[in-house]
Amino acid sequence: MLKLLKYEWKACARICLPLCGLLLLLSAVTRVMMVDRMQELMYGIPTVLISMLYFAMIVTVFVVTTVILIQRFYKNLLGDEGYLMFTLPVTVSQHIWSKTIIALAMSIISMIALFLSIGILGMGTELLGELASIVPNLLQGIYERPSEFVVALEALLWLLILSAVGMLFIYLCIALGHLAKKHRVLMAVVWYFVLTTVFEFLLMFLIMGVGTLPLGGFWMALQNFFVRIGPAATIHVCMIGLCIITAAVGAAFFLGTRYILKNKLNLE
Amino acid sequence: MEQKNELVVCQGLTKVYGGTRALDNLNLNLERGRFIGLLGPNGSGKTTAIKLLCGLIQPTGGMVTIDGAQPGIHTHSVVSYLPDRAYLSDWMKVCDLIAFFADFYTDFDRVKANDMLSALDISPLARLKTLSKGTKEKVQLILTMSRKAQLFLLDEPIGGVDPAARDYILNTILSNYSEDASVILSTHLIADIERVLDEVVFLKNGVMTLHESVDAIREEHGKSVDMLFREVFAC
Repeated sequence: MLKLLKYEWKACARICLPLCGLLLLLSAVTRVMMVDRMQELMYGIPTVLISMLYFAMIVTVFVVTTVILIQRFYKNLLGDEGYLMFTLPVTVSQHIWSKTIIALAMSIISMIALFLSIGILGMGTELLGELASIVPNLLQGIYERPSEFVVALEALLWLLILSAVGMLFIYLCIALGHLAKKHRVLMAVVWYFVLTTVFEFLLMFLIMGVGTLPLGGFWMALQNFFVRIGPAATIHVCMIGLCIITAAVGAAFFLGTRYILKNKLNLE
Repeated sequence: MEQKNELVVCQGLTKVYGGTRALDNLNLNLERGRFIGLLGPNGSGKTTAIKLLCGLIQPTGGMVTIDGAQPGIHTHSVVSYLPDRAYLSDWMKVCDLIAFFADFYTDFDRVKANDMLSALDISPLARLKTLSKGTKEKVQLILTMSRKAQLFLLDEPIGGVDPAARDYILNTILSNYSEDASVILSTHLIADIERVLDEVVFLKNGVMTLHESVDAIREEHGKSVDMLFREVFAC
């Protein structure tokens, strides 16, 4: 498993990391160009151009990261490279885990790069001071209101799980597309839209239908439980519940993908 | 309890694609220490049979065991497979690939791989995408044959290379598998490999029509495998 992670990391990092580096470099250049004297140069045209380039770079980083994550799954497992990957002495689950974990790590790294680049842009201005003051404020906050800090951590955990579930959903769509004999990429896109629509409808019905279900006793019990444990604990319970539900959806996507890759694999 | 000498056992192995029976009720036992030719014209089910042995596809019916286990982690660790296509990531360097194989296969012999690379003048620092098609195939073969596997599954390893390279490849295969290992090699170029074969399996439209040792064919039929093949598969 660690070996799979190592090679997956190498494959993704060789493209993602230089891009993030370029983003940081461009933000530094943009910062220099924003100095008053540079802005007077040639009516400020170079400054505008560099800034535009910087924003284009942000978009590029995120588009390329997404494309790589999808391509790594499609090409490495379901393309010709699948002949190597699926004859390695590892399980299908380990393949899916390694892809998901590295995909998550890459997304986090590009987010960090974005924040850093904004930090560089704000260098020497009040923005940086404000950013810098976050750390002591945060520490003070943890000290004074530990419960809220835990909620923030829970929210962060939920975001992580949600991103992983998003990746697993894309993997499931690619795997479903693989079931088709021809036009597998197109079928993956079709599955993506079909499943997204189905889930939206399901959610809508759930929200609309929940009130009409004969669950009055359950809601009462739940409400009593929340009243008993107080508002602070209620938030924790809700956040953890949200994490568990999201993870369960992810587990379903994972199992679906694993079933297809294990039993229905048919490399071209 | 199976006999210890049996490496591959297929029982009623069947694979149906859509409505086509790519492989139909294959019953086959193969022993250790044999060089087996899987022979048949294009579309006769050779690749399907090999993919089933590798666990790359699941059988529609029947079962297969290698070294006593169904295709899975154990068989992957004892089977060295060479597919009929370029299956390596072309952004990797040759030395990266060697490290990759050494990491995943405990039976991989780095020294042997490096020796073969230098014998063929292939730089370990070359990126795969800069190499010619023939050289890429040689790299794949070197990686496959540098393992001390129990079963080598070679799908059309000589199909795309020139006759001179063919000889080198066959010699590489011959000199690199140990006594208790077996080689299954699929091809339709029989004349080139006849001299190295111990036994042959003929496949026709997914059905096994013959499984015999090469000596028996020569004695019973009084013909070479190549001649028999031309007769059996005459159009």
